[in-house]
Amino acid sequence: MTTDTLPRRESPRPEATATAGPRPGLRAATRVELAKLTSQWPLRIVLALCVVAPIGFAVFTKSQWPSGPADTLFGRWSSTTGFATSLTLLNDANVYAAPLLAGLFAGDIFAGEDRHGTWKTILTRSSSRTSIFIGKALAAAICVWAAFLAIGIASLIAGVAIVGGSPLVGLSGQLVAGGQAWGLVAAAWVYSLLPATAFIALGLLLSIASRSTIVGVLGPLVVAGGLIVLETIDSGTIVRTISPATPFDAWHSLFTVAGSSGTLIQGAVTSVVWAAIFGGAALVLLRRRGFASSDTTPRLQRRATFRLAAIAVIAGVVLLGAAGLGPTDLTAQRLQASIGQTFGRLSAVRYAWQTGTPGQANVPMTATCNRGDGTQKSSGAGDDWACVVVDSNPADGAQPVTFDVTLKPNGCYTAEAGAAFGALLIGNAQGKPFINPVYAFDGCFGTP
Amino acid sequence: MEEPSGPVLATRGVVKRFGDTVAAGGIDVSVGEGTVCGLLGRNGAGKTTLLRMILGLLPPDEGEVRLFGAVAPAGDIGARQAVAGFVEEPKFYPYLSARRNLELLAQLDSARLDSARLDGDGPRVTPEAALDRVGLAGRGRDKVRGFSTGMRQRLGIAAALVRAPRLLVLDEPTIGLDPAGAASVRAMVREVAASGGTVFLSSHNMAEVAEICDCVVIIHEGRKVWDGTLEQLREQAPVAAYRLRTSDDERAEALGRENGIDISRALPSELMIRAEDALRDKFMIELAHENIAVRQLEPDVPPLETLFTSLTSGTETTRKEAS
Repeated sequence: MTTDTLPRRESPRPEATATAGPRPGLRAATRVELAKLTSQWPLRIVLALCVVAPIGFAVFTKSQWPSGPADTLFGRWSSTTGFATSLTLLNDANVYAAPLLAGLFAGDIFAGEDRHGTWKTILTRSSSRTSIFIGKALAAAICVWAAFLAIGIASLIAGVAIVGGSPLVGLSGQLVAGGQAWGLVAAAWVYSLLPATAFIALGLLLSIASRSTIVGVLGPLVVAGGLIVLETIDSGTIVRTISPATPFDAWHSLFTVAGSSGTLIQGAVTSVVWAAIFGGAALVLLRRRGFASSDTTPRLQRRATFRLAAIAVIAGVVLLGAAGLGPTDLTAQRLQASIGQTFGRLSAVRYAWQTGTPGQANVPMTATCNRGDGTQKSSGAGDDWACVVVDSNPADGAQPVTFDVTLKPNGCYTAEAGAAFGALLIGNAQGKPFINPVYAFDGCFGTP
Repeated sequence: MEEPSGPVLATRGVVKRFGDTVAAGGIDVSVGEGTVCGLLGRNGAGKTTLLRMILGLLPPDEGEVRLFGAVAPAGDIGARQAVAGFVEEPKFYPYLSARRNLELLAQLDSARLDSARLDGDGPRVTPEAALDRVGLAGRGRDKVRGFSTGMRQRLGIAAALVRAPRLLVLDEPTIGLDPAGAASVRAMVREVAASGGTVFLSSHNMAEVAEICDCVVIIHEGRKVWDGTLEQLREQAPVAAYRLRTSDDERAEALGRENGIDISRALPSELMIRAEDALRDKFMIELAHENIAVRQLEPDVPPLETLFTSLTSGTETTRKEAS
């Protein structure tokens, strides 16, 4: 150690001492937290994967043409157009990546201070608990948003570059031209940041409440999984309306002809409200916490985790009981209206692709849908829907066609008519094969 | 500049309870500017709890902490701009280098990257300078995960120095350090005081406190049992006890009694004597005159330690009697 003499201090005036010195702002606290997050190799690898994995997915998808993950919205087109490649990934990113990223970046940001015993180190500096909280929340959000958008940007650019920039078949059977598709796909990714933010706030709350990295990191993923399971049990509007996972589906309305700004606004409000609830609770917990000991003991961690688990079980039971409450938006009327129009547009698309001429924009169709053998109520999600579609123009002389329809809780469906409309691949006038758009198709009519 | 009107650090009847346990039972402490004050107490006496309340990590249930004359509630960052320190073992981010840790902590103190300072006139201590001062200049780029306890202790002191504090609060700052490192920390603490700063440090080590402190506060079971200057403490200390081995213990014991020395046989071949320095010196000369060789004379328990032990043992009644 050196033995330099410290500079002589002037005696501070008491009142000056209390207010002296520049108060570090939120920018400083955020910069510090960002530096800490981006210094950790596991998180750097996650960020790198968010860029590399979509490129790999685009390459793989291209190699699988003409098939694709048909159980995912836009999946059947993912090997045909890069816009669908990106949207296929968006489905998975919303289900898995957003909660996982929220857990990885937000779930450890407070629990990490407990793990390293560094609470007292930062709380004895010149940043208030509120500043530290906001700095951590912003840093976590910036990292999650950056990682999420990295998946979106990489998948969109790589998708178009590798798979191609053909027009996208929308969720009402309409064709979305390349120029418009760029904007809509980008908007879908950006919109999904809102529900992702609610899960970031959930990660923050779990991190503070549990003081456990495992609970903080895996908690958002488990909660998201639980909400998805809850969706499949029943489809009452009350739970769907308040669920923080529901807004992940709101972007679907960007790709329907009718659109629905109401769905987008409702999803945004739901996300903001949950982010405020989770974030507010996390801030209150941090402000009220005493630091009687520097390190969180396993006993304290277990107690906090058990408390959280008890709350989660109670919330789960309440939600389970409420899952069927309220009317359902998944009615035969809405499905009939949607599937008829979607099939009509897709028939026109097939005609245009096959003949090379535009033809009519929409072939008028009417549909009649029922569940099962028709004796049960014709509403709700399920894979036992059957829709009989009839060409509304008798002059066409077309025969009614029956589609087997799987209706999902989020208001999207898959309709299949087997070989009634030809094979999966058919050729155009020049003999070039293309995917038959009415062989099987997806559509959405939207729910809250 | 105007002199501060009161002590740099004062606690007024601070009480902290954890359930039924009273960790601090109304402690009053007052530390003046430019002094080094030691906080002594056994394990569980309430030292760290008191330091946590001073650093704002814990709110007192009753009473108040005053810093530079102003009340400093827990979590009040503004009231603690001129305070730095640590409690228990200093902790850092293991995946960052020592220098990066200090840089980030400096950023939390100030938007300026290159230094942390209290105000425009205050001294500047850069992370590099702080590392240099604690002897870690050569290890600044190393990740903290590879640091020993002693190195972390030194890094903790560096982290405090980066704030250029006017009040430094340290919890057993030399624990885990080798003798040379501990001596350097003691020298640094004196330098802080010499440059106008104030240091309040806890310790188990009475000898260390006697070496560097101007004043002492002794607490036991959450209550202050003694405070004052080191001189006052020395005055109250009992006569020192020494272990004595001679060439003829029997005659030495008899001679001691003749000279008014409190002498007894501690072991078959060892005597224990208690006497003022002058009387003990006279006794040694007498032994020489009587051709009794002194083979060993060493202090048994230092007087301050004896006093500390008597102050911090037994019930409250016996403590009062002792003081």
